[in-house]
Amino acid sequence: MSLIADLKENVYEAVAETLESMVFMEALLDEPGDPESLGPSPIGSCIAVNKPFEGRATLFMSIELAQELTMNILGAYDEETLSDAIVRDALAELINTIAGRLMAKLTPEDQTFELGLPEPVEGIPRETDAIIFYFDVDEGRMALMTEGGFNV
Amino acid sequence: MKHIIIADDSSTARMFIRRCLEIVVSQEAEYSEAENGQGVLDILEKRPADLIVTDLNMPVMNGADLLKRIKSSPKKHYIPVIVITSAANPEKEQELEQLGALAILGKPISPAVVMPVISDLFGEEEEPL
Repeated sequence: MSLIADLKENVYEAVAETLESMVFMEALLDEPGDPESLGPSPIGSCIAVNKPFEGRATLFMSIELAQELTMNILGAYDEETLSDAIVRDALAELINTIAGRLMAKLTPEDQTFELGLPEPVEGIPRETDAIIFYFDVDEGRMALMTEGGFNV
Repeated sequence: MKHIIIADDSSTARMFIRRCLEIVVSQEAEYSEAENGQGVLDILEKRPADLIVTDLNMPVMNGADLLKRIKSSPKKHYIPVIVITSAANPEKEQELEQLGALAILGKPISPAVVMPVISDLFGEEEEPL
């Protein structure tokens, strides 16, 4: 299997496992697409990988999908009480968990890996060398972007 | 009543962990929350705890440093510490076990994953979930 195909399979599993366990929703890997498909102003959260390689993983989605996922995670909120801070915190925890699952799959068992702390990101880059994986989630769409050592 | 401290810099994670614990801990329990390891130590200054559930990667004081502080304290070393982390793998688990962690669970957790650990610790009866 090629390195990209291997990464794709591990990314899909990490995303699917996380969304199923945390959000109780299914994520379906879609064909490569266009950042425009995420909506006019997607929000995102990124996390750095510091060891065993340097890289970054970023999760992007529309604010509407982020709100829906947040309500599923927390269970008790409705849209009116859901603040931007809560939604962004949920997004941060999602990328933290996805990145951890992904790194656990990519890192040999006799090595450890190190993640940074999630940080908010505004907007998805239109031109980039990063690899972007698109997912259909319920009636929404999200993207996971990998950069640096992920793609070597 | 059991006193359980949950430490994670994410409020989402704290709430998610608490919901899992509320499902599996059948006894009455009181929960305190902290954003980092220092927050846990601040809570312990005021009252003892029966269990600490902590993330690993937190600002100010991370979970590993908290674990070291707890296990080296004459007054606090008895408190069991469960580490719940996105950075779990066999090598990291071994490191944390050597530091004295009771269990290391990878995120995302679920009641089914937490149940055996809590059952052993609090003597809960395992029931099908």
